[in-house]
Amino acid sequence: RGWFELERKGGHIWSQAFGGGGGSMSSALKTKAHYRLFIVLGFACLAHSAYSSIQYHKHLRMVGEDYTGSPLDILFEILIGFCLCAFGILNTANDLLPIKMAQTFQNKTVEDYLFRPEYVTFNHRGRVVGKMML
Amino acid sequence: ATGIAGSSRGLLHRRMGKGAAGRRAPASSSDAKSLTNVYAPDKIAYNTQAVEYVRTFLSIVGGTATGIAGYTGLMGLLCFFLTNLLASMWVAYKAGPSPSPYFQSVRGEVLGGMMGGFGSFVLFWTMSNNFVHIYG
Repeated sequence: RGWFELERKGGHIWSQAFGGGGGSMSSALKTKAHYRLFIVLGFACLAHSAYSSIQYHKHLRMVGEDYTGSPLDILFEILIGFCLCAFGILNTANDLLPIKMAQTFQNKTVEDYLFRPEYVTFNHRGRVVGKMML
Repeated sequence: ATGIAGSSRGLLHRRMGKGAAGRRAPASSSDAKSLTNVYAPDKIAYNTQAVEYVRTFLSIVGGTATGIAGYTGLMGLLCFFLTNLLASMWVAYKAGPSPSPYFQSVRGEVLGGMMGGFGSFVLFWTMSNNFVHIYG
């Protein structure tokens, strides 16, 4: 047994990479908000590569050469930043909802229709009894 | 019994009998079939908004990346099509096979939104290109 079993268990490659990485790690990335970190990291990479690119232009001006394309490491960093941002964006997007009304109505229960939160009152004897119990 | 009381009781019975039979909702399959082509417009709007979020945000990020890299002209347009292709591939993956429960037409969503992020892409492409290569 090993990572072959993990490949067959998890369908999506992201769950395979992060779900098999460790118990605490998989629970840390279960919520959508944790993927915002990837967007922040991606923007940080892009900002760093922009700064490097500006420095490269200054260097070219000092040396007196013309600009013909950025160096490969800056391009690689831009690609890394874009991939991190894309990963964060695609995972923080909302889940899609089924649009056919029948599919949502079939899963509703009687409680869904009887629940009217605007008509819930709190000025009853439970309020006084709670105060008495304290 | 006869007379008015009898007739009224008979009427009452008859009304109750008919009313009970009439008011009972017929659980026939024709009623279930009538709902299968009704779409919920708020869910359609929600899905369209989710797709537009992904496409616009990816176009913005792709635009800044293209500008920082210094690509101009046709190379930048190629980068725009790559980012839009990534967004469309995500939409196609999320939607699933063709009679999708999430979209009325998957092909419309995937191919139709191609020019959706163009404005954002060009804006951020120009901005980052200027900041890094021209005014940097």
